[in-house]
Amino acid sequence: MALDTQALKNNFAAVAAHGGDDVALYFYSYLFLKYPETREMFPPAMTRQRDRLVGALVRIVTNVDNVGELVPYLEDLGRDHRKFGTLAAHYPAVGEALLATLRHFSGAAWTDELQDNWATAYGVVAGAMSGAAEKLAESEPAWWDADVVEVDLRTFDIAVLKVRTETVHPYVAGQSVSVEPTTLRPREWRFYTPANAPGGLEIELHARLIDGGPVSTALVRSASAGDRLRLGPPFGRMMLDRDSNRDLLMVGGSTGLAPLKAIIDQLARDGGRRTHLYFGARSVREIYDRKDLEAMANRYSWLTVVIVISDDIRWKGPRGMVGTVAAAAGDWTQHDVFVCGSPAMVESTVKELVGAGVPESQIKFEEFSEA
Amino acid sequence: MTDTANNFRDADAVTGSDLKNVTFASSKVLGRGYDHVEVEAFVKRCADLVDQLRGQLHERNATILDLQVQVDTLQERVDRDSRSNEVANAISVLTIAQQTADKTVQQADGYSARVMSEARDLYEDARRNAATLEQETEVKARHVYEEALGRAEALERETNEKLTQLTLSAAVAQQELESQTAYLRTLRDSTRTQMEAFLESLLDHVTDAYGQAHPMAAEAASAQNPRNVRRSNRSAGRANGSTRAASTLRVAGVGTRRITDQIPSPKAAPVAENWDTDE
Repeated sequence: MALDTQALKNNFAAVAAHGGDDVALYFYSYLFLKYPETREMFPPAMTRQRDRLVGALVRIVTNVDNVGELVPYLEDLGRDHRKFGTLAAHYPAVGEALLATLRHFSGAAWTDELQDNWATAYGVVAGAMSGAAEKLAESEPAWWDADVVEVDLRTFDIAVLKVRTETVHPYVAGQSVSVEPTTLRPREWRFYTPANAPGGLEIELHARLIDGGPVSTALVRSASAGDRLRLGPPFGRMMLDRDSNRDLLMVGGSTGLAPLKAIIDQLARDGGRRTHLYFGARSVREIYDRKDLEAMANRYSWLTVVIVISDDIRWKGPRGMVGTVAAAAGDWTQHDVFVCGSPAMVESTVKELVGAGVPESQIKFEEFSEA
Repeated sequence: MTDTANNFRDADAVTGSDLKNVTFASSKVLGRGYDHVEVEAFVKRCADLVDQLRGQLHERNATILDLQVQVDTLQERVDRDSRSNEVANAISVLTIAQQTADKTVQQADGYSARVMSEARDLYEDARRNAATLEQETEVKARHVYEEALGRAEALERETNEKLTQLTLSAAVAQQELESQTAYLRTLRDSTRTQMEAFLESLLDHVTDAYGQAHPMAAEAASAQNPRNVRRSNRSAGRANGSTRAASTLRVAGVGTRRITDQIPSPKAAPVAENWDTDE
């Protein structure tokens, strides 16, 4: 039957009016009651999980007539869900719970046509997700097991971890992977960015402690050699354009340095390209990777490293916001630009650079989440 | 036929009491037994009634079955309702349990976040204080250093001035010393000359006196001519050391008995050497 997308959107809006969190609560309660085996795929606290579900539903319903946008998203989602242990058999259960939830909150407005509409729509979504997952099942594992090899606490809230995967992880320099501290915080996943080029078993991760964040707290304060981790598949589009021969400008704030370091590592393997790296931190102590920064600057003649400190009277080098200092330091209009840091840092840096005449198409950026 | 048999209140209905109280007229044919016609009519009515009742029974049974089905359906609905109530209850119990769990975890996370952010604030404060302190200390140290440097420079200047003064007075002292030395040398030389003159005259006098007392010895002495040798050597003695003069002095000092052994010896002049090296 033809999908009445407008009816779906209207119904979803009416259901969502009951409060996204309540809707998600009902959904998961129904799912866990009817299919108790699904409960162990989720963490004990479900608040963030519900936010994610609502976010995903909103995104799917909003784009329900925009296949070009929706399908790649669903394929990524299906691919990412493999790390949770999601199997094709779980999809009908979720569909049933979803329809029961919609019916529950629709009340008298629920009709057989609506039921059919939703069932069809869910079939398409589940098909795209599980289809993508199945296609990948032949070429890559659902997750990569890894061991913590070393935890180096560089400041009281930033640690550099060396982890060793059992098989080579297929990320590209600049991409992120989700990490689950399997022994310390089972079922909790957060994205981290490897700070070295791919190809080997050892991966360097830079973890900054987010107050109250379960994964970051575990990685920075609790992890030690031997702890088990699971890594999800790689995501992110901040990668080198290997066809470009433009010089590079990189601006990183705090642990936003990680992907830039990985890209520099990759550049070194590819023969090097003229690169300016601006690293920003608040205080001298927070130059948490100074040894490596200096070593890289010494080793690679094509690399210039500038450290910018915003809030430390002892610093004799450039002081201020790293984006402002970088944007004012030269003419970057002919450069490929990478920016990575906190959302505020990324926003202001991109604004400064665009203001200085750098075409937006040449700027790639990634922000690390604060939650 | 009796009244009772004929006069049923309802011709279609035969009641139990009808059957108990039924009476038939005596048979007219044989004079005994019931009237045949009456009995047959009664039996027929009874048969009709049975048929009628059976039919009714059937109908009722059908109705009962119908109702039973309805009851079953209703029961099923009631059951399902109570089941769905159970589901609804279970869902709400599960929901409340999850919310409680979420709240607990949230409180724990919140607590951890608060502790961390307080720690971070403390750390930031400490860091800023340390930085300020470090800078203040640096400034103070620089002040102290500069002051010390200033003092050291002043001290050096003072010392240099004093040194210059001292050098000047030393030069004056040196000059004085030199003039005194020169004076003493002159004094020495003149004293020596006077002493030599005195000793020579003394020797001459001794020789003369000796000659008067013993002419042979005086002749021998004159043949050796010690005085002539001594006198001719006097000028040379003054230039390359006053050996002779010293010997002469010794001769004069020690006595006259060994004079012939002592006079020709050129070795005996240790005292005068000190004077000579000074020149």
